[in-house]
Amino acid sequence: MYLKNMYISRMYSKELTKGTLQPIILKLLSEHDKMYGYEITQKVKELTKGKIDISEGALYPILHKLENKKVLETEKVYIGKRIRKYYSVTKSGKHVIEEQTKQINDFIDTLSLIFNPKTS
Amino acid sequence: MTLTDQHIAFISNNLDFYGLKNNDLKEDLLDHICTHIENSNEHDFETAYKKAIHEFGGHLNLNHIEHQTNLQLYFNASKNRNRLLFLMSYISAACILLGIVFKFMHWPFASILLVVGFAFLIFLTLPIYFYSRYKDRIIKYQS
Repeated sequence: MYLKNMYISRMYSKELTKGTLQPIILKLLSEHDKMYGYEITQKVKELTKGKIDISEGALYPILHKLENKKVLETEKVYIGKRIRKYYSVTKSGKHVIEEQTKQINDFIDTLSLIFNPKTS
Repeated sequence: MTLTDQHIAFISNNLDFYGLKNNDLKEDLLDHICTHIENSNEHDFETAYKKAIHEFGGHLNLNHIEHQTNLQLYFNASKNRNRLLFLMSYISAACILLGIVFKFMHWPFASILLVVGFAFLIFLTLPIYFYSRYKDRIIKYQS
């Protein structure tokens, strides 16, 4: 019994969450006006009750790539001596997010075909 | 706890010291670490900073983050450069070879084809080739 619960409540493995991080980040950003890096990690932790923990090592490469692809844009705000960069979705980025959200919903359905065949 | 300007300068210097070269990424990480420390319950800067770095996976991981970022950023650019290089190589090779065939056969426009082919080779293909080698090496060095 204990073992069973342990696997349910623990964090997912990195391999499992790797491909879903970008859609998660984009979805969050599309629902909020603008967010900064730390806020995103905390929000994901809060929403998933700590089950998905986006590490900084995964977050910032994705954010920078998306900015480079013009999906996201940044706004620099000075906080005392340091700079905080707020990320927000560009106009062209909205289409990308729609597409990805559709794709991941479809992916979830497909996965349940394999793992929960009885319910379908 | 609240951070003073000195603390922020200390963290910033540390990031420099551990070899972070991408300035955009540095600003992001600096803010991330600072926010992390400000939200922690520690009252002592030293322990709070150590904890924050520990959560990052240590200083080594900082370089790993930069490496990953560079890979993500430059992958497409490098792909496009290679595509351009192949295209230019094809055009110059085709022009030169056709020019040679035309010359053998004493057909008209042979010299024009040869001149165009060599012009492409010297002014476009070779510079692009060396530029893309240079760029790839820079990325390798940076990360």
